[in-house]
Amino acid sequence: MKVPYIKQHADVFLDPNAGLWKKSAVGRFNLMPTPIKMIEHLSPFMANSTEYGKVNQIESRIAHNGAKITILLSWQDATRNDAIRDLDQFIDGVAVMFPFTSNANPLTMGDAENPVNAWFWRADKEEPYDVIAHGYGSSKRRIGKELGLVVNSSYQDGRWTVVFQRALRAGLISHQQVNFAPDKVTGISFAVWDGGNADRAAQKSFSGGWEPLELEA
Amino acid sequence: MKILNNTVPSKQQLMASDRQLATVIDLNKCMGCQSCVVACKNLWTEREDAHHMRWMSVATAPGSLYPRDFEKKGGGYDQQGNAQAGELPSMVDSGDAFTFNHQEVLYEGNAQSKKLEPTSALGGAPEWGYNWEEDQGKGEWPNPYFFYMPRKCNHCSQPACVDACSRNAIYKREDGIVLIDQDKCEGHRHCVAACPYKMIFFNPVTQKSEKCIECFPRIDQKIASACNRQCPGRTRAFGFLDDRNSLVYRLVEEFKVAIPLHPEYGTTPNVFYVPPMSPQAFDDNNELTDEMRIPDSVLEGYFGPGVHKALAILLAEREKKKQGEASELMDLLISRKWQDRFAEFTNHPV
Amino acid sequence: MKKGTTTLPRRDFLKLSGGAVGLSLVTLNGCTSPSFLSSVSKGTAKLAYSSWEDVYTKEWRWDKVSWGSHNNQCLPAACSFRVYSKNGIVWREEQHAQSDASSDAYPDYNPMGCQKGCAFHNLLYSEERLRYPMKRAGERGEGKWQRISWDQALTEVADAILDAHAEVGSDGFHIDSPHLHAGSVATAGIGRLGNQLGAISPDTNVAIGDDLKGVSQVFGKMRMGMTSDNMFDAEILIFSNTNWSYTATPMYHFITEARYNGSEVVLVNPDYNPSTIHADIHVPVLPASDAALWLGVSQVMIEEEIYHRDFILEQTDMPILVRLDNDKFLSAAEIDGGRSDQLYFYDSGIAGIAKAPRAQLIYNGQQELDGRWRVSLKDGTTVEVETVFRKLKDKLNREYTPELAGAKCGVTAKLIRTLARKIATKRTHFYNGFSSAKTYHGDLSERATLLMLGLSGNWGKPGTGFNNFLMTIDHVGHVGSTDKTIAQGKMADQARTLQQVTQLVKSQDPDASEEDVHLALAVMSQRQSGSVPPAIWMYRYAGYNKLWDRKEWQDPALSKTFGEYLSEGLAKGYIDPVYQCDPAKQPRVIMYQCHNPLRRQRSGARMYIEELWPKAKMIFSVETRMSSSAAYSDILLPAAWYYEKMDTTMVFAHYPFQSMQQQAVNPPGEALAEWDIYRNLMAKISARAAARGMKQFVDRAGATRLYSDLESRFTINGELNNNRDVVREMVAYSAATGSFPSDYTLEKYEQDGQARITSLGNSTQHHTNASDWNVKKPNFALGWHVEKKLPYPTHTRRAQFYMDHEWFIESGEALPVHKDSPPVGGDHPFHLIGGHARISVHTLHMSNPHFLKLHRGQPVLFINDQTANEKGIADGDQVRMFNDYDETEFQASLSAAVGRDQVVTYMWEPYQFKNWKSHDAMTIGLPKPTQLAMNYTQCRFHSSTGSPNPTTDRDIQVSIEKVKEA
Repeated sequence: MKVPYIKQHADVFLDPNAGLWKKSAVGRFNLMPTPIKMIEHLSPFMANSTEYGKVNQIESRIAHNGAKITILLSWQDATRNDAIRDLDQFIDGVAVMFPFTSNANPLTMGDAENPVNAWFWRADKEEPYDVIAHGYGSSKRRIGKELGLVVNSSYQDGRWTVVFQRALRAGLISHQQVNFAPDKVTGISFAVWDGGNADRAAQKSFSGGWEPLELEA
Repeated sequence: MKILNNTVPSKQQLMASDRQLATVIDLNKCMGCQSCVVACKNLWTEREDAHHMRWMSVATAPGSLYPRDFEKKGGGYDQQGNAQAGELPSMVDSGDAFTFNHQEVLYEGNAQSKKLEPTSALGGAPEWGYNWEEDQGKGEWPNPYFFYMPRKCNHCSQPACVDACSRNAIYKREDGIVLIDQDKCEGHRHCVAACPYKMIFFNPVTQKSEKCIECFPRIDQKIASACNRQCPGRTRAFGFLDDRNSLVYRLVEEFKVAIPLHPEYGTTPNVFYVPPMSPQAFDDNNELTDEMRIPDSVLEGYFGPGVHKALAILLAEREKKKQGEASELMDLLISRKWQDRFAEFTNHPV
Repeated sequence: MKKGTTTLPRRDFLKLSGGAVGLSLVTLNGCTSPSFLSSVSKGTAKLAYSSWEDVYTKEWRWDKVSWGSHNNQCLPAACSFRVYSKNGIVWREEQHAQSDASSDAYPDYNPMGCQKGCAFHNLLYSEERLRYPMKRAGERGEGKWQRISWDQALTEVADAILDAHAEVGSDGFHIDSPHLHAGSVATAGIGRLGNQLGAISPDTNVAIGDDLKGVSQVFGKMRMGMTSDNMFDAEILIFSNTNWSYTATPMYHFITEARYNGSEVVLVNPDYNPSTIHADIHVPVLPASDAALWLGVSQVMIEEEIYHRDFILEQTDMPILVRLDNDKFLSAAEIDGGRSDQLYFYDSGIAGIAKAPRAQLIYNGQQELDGRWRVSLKDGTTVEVETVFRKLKDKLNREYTPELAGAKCGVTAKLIRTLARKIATKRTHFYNGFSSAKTYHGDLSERATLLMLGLSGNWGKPGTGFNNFLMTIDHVGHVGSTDKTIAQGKMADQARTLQQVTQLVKSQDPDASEEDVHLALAVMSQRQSGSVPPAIWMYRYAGYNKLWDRKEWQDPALSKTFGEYLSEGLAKGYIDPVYQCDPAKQPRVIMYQCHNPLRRQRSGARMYIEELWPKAKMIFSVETRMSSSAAYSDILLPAAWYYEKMDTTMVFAHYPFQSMQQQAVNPPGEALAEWDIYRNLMAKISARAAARGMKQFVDRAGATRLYSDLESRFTINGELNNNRDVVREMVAYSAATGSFPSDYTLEKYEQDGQARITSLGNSTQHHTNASDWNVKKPNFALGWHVEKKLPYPTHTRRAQFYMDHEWFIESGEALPVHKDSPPVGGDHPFHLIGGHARISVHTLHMSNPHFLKLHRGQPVLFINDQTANEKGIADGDQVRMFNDYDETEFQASLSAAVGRDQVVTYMWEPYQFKNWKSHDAMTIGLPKPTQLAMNYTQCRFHSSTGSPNPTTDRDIQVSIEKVKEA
């Protein structure tokens, strides 16, 4: 995907209805259930799951203003699950994931040598998480706000719309966050959890391999 | 669990323990008083976010037990060791967490027009709740029957919860206690679904799952866990299963009168039950028979076919006592000195 | 945030922020006080927890550990607990669990303490807890309150009491049977308060109905007991009228362990109650038909000649002669002009009548057990006489063969025979609970039970007996009434009094035993105490004449109503006039302390509200919690609860220990220990009297008392200023009487936490229990009669099964018989039974959310599942229960453990019901009028026994129907 440079104040990007978004092409990505048998060693019980990952498409527009990158995501979900009203309920969510190295495998959320970084929003939380993972089951959730990640979300007419925004360059190296730079190409992958379908953890829809992400200067 | 630093532990490592702590609960002594329940609750779960959790519970059997219908909610392993799908208990299944209207009844000038009544945590009148079927049982007059089923985490030797947690947040301590690392847990509840005993409870506020910790801070001081020590019915024995001097060893391994609940769930549980010798049944003419009134099939449904042998041993040993002969087993079950029930865990919590 | 103290409008977990809750954020982390655990663990290997495990470990740390117990008036109400507090709040408690066995041969008592005790602190912090003095701001019972100062509250109470004195006299101030729940110090305090002010008070124990009249009728006393381990020596353990798994939770293991030890356990209950699950035999008697069962068993023992002839000849009235012409005992008054209580045997050795011994039980002649003879009286006439045994045998053979008895009690003849043969040949211990005292004909049931035990020789020996109610509270009684401390020479005074009474009693009856003397003293003390028979008090003051004089509800064998018996009893001198409750002196001020009559007094929810309370210009309550009754107060005075004041427990013999209660934390708000409240009230009355120019009042006995020195008399000139002083005095008393070692002190007690009872002291109960107290063995009652042949304190000097009082004769109850319950409240198809709830003692814990979450959280009525199906009632349905008098609603709980025509419920707080009316409102509590025969030796009013129980509610008939949804 091309990520256009749009000269606007970063706050404007957070509005999904802002006119500037017309300048960014829509990417439509098909989603599929994660190949959950892959993590049988981590949970043979979860690996038995069958009915998860039913959200089959996500739309994305991405833009930057030279300082910050903003990702606008939207997908269809007939049920809004933004609170745990009973103990058997789960929460809608979405995540975008980026590799640190070209060898990072999106299917496994990387591995020990090839970590991945993800931005994770849940419908019951005001703030997003910034996630670092060295392979499935190893992910660590960090408070997104403390790492400069902000989010805006809305639910309307059976669709979630979620906007992530972060500085192109993260603060400290020790924070282990991906960095973006104009003219650089990296990858992105998408995951969606439908709380109404008890999606959680690896029980989710995902986009498969890395979608190239190219920031225009 | 013995795990080297900076490595991802294997399930085998997480499940391994040097020794295994076990609890025996004598159903011939349990009177359903709920002392173990309040002992546990006041120590660990008397919190706004945990009122629905009963790490220790006592329900009347037969019945839907606690959590409601846990036996129908799956989990555990089949005979080939394959993981079985499981369902999650709801708030109501978990016994609900009623709230009450004291202010309205007592202090708001409503005279006698309002009564004190429970409201479900989900709102409205309760549909079901903890110990809802208290003292109901089954059977037909004049042969009704019931017994009490105290339950807590089995700290299984093959814990499905450890197996199920994709976060590897659950592990066995070296003494066999199964714990959920609250820092690692992300509340996905695969453990809840996988536990065939449904002894893991989701905290909807912290969004993490919690369970019985076998009072490990007490255990580490050689003080028996609260539910075990505080049981006024003296139903409990506690200790290491390989300690030949412990009452748990003697009842489970030596005399074989303490047997696990639902051994077919495949997790090798470490809570053992001495099955109930129920009162004599009446026949169709209302005359007393020599048969016990809880049908064998009912007990077998809970404890498996091993229950018949355990009961036969109990009855034979009791008969010796009735005849004025000695029975070491009966004396062990009596435990004239209460402390003898707890092996090395006899310190007092001062 | 303290657990349980938050008052969220609705505990919606979704609205809670994670910050205040959650395991990882336990509020204890801020605690800076040194941990008691760390000191204990000094020297042990340092434990390395991962950081998250530390969270749990931190929760297991406290500022302070204190001694605690609960004067809950359960059994045993003396469990020793450790109380853990932090930041001035009690977080938990746990059994001390160091109560040794009498010897290695018996199970020990550990870990003494049940669910009520293990969760008691939850009561301290709940919404029904009273924290500030309050005055009602609306109508009585309307639930509108204003907070007031202690000064205002005490001033208003003091003025009301002074007004009552001025208007009516000192007996215009009534203390309505205060419960012992408030503790030993409070109980002593309210006793002193009543004494100093000349108040009257219906006797608490009888008002509760914990008085087994039938036991008194047989033995001349009710205060007898055992240590729990006595059951371990029994070959057969029988339980009836009780539900130990609910009511004696920490002792229940003695039953299950005796069973493992080879004892056969038999439970006799109409329902398959929860204690029955560990029995060998359930005897499903019809409600209130135990008398028929045991009479049937007795018939078999006599018929099959398996009764213990020597035992009944020596210990019972079986060989005593009764005149056939008037059904009275043949007495020396008729033979030689001697004593009317000198009775006779027939001695075949001399072929004539012989005086039955009165000073002891041994008779060296050949008294006949069975026979009928002709005897010449001093007036020259001859009368036919027969032994009690003969009368009994004929009666049993006529009416109580196993077949006939079985038809009355619903048990097969075969099972009756089986029971008779077992009991006659084995050491049998019978535990009879207080449900029989709440059954209209419960006295008959108790007499029949004791008959069966007597015939089988089953009392006064190890592993036998009929446990009743040995509760030693002399340390409380001492402080409640004394004008001197132990240090000031109280014991010498007491010895002098006893000597005087001994002389008096012996002058009237040279054969009187020491026990007789103590009972005579108890009778005298009762007269002076201001305590009155509750049934008479309720009849005169609370409008119960409107219920109890309804002819259609009474025993058809009686020709007179309760009121007519009362009048006749007063006219004939059966009732001491001091107990008449003068209708001219109606209550003006009524005080409550831990008494919830809207539940406890049968139909109190009608009679107290409609009849009694409107007579009072002031109702004030000293309470820890808002009960349904407290809600009707004019003034509420908040009291400290257990853990918030120093106290000591009372002793129930089942658990022969007294436990120390320290003040772990301060009471909440402005709550005060009762002793402080009463002391302050005394001072306030003096001040108000002075301000109003009132100098003195005349008490019931006609003595003049000053108002000015009330406080100094209350505190014995400052000797008993506070709870600590009082507990010190109680310990001193126990040490002086031998209940504690003679050198025992408060300081030692605080160190030990509990003290084993070394004797029953020199109390009345020491004598009524009539056994040496042995700390190394199980204890049981009546040993002195069986071993030392001391006489029983009855009219016949023996265990007495024949009652020759005219009222007993005219009601057909001279011998124990079975009678169906009278149709109190009308004729309805279901028999209502029940008793104490599992998770509450009375209503103490019932309305607390922690306890309410241990069950459905609302009142339930157990109904037989098949019966319910036939009536279209499903589990969880709302059902209406009614009789001719009133009605209430329950949620239905369906169970096969309840008989087809029974319904079972337990105690609930009235405000858990629609219109705050529990089933207690419809139970009427009809007292049995023959128990007004208070002149008969063993029916005297003393030691909280005697006079009719106004509490009969078991086996009331009711109707049930499903409530139609609105």
